[in-house]
Amino acid sequence: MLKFLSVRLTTSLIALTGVMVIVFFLARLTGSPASLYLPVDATDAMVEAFNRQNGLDKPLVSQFVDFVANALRLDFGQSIAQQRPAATAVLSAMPQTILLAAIAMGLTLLLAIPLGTFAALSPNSTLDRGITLFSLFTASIPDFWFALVCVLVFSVSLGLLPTSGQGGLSSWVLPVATVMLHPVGVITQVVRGAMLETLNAGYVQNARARGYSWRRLAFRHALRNAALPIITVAGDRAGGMVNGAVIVSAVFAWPGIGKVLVDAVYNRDFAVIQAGVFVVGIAVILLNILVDLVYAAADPRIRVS
Amino acid sequence: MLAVYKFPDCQRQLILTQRRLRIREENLVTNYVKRVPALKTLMLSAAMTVVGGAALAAEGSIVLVLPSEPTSVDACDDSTNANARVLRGNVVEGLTRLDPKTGQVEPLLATEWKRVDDKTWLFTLRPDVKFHDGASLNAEAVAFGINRSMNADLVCQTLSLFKTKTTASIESDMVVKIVTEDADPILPARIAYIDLPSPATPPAAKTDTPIGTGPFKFAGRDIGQSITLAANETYWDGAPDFAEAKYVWRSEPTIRASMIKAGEADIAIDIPFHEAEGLPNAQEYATNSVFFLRPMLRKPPLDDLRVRQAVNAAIDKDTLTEVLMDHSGVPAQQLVSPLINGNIPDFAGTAYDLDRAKALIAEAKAAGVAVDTPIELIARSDLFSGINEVSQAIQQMLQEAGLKVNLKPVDSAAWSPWARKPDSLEQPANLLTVTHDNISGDASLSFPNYFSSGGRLSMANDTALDEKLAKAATLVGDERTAAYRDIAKAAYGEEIIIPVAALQSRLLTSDKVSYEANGFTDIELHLADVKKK
Repeated sequence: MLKFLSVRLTTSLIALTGVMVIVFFLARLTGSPASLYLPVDATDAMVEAFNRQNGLDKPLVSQFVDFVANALRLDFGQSIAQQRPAATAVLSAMPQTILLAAIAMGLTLLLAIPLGTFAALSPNSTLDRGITLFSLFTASIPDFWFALVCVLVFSVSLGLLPTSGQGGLSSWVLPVATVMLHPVGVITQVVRGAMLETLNAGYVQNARARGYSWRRLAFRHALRNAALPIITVAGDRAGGMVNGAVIVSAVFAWPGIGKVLVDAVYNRDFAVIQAGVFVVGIAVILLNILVDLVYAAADPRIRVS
Repeated sequence: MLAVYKFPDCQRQLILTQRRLRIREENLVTNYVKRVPALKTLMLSAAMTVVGGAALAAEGSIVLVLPSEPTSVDACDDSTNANARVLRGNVVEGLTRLDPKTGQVEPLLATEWKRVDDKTWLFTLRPDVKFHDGASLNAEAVAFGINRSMNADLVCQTLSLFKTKTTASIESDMVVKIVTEDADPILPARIAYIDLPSPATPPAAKTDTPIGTGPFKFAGRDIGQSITLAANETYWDGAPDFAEAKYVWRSEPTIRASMIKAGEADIAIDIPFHEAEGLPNAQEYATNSVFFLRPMLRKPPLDDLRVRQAVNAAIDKDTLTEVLMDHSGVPAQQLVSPLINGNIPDFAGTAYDLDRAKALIAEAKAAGVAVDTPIELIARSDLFSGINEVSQAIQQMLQEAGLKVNLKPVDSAAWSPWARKPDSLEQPANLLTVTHDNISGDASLSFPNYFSSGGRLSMANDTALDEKLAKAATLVGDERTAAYRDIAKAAYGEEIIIPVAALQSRLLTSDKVSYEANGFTDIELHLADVKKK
């Protein structure tokens, strides 16, 4: 187990290091922050002073050496846009992001697994067609449009929920629903497909012949055997929720990491881009390890080694 | 409290009379003075209802929803819209301010000013004004604030507005002396952009807790979420109506409008027409911002006047503004609005005439101009809502006229090398999309940037025009206005820039507040002008 974790961590960190190096140089190819933060008619002296203050006056290699030296101490520098340490800017957005992702993924699984299973239990029935239609609808609908329509209906017309921002429990409803939208549809389809295949397996037919109920068979035996593709897709979608959710941030002004990263790119806030990629990278690595562990728990044939 | 509300008109009348008397006294002792008009005094006094000397306390709170968060809350960065509309006139104030309707300079923290010689000005300060930290407004504090903004190492946004070195010093306790290296006849207007921080502000570092003299104190900031201001009960011009103002940021215009409709906010700006249509509390206003194209004058085919005239004639501004801009613009023929002295009254400009555009291009081609050279249309995606569609339409219109135009969408950072010298001089033939706003009342903050050979954003290279600009900068009054109009006529005749649309915006208010939008609203949204209904 420890060996598995150390190997997994080592290979992941090597990949993350490579990504960080690429991000460092790619970010600087996108243009100088001085052109964004200073007036268009700023003097050369102002531009020079700005670059000096933000360490942008040094040669690129020298900037990279400084970045590596500081990053080893988890110091990613100062955010130009937010005027605070970049790590603080990123980490302050992480708790809300993780909580939102956890709630949304939990609810997604609670909804998608039963729906996919019931659809698989009666293939081509009205129920199956209804669930398939629903899942295709949620997987296809543009989340941006969905979010705005929800605001117009539930906030403006009905006055039931706040339009945006983060306040009480009610402020979570629309962001969570928006984040769940696509994963619910996709995972329902994955569950249905995996369950159909499993339910047609010989051991299930045999058990059925022995008089086991479909419900017992489906939820006790077949679902566990169908779990691997579900875990894979759910893990992938959870990663997307952690580093994505930009729509939720943009529409609902949700303080998430997705918006922090997108804003940092637009603002040429190199320090925040680098800190954001690092933190999200770590989160994805941990998520992948978690998915591997869940594989092993779900299927005893898979060993953590 | 009930008694206070019982006779508001009488109270206001009393204050009005007191103020008129005060103004008359000031008129007697000063010569070269600009004053608050009586009507302005009436409006300001409405914010201050006094009974027996006790000021009416501010109460309640308002929420303002804006598209973008300030990038800095330091007073010396108040020249960008996002920063100024939260801080300027609310937390921090300058010596003077500009009237949004006339563009005239009005007293603010200075009650009067005098030009001693070409390069020296004396500003007399308003007495009994205190910063939010209790420090008194005096010449020392003002000199500190002005010189701090001029510190090149601090990289203040406002610094670029001062083309000549400007230094403040103490003349006496309540008189500050401002000296400019070169003559600056419009210094009182220019100084309106310098907001004055408390002397306790770090002199060589930006602050994230601004302290000023304004009607509101900076109460707190949740980065990315909100900024909260609290009423300054001892404000020199009377406490504001509301005890608290909270700013929140929503980039989506639909959400900003929804917050008003759902009763979550009281003022929302930059609302598209379709979100405001039919609402009784919607206001449409001109922003003083003009959208124009800047041709690359130094490379073919745009170095030929006929080609530039063809570009102007080929753009159907009526269709662009009516169909594509969703009522967010009206056709424009000039760089500056009527608020600015360089605006030419009744200037006809160039009418849409596709046949003429085609003929001009044919004429240029016959004369050997390489009209087939590809022209890059540099479309900056964040200029205004719908810029991408407008740019595509312009591309189509120019292609229809016979030019070869490639559309190149860019963000603001990628736009910069196309816009600013020296990089812009190395670019291929292009038409640059630009928006420019000027609320100073004076064309010196517009024309040199775009029309002079040395202008950072200019592609012009015309010695005669440079001389005219240099001379105009030294003139005052009607002579100055005439000189800038003459320059404008010459520049438009040479198609140095091609104006397309004067931008308009919309604002929504809740039933709780009354606020009259003006040409400054997108830049300065004064909370003292927001009243309880």
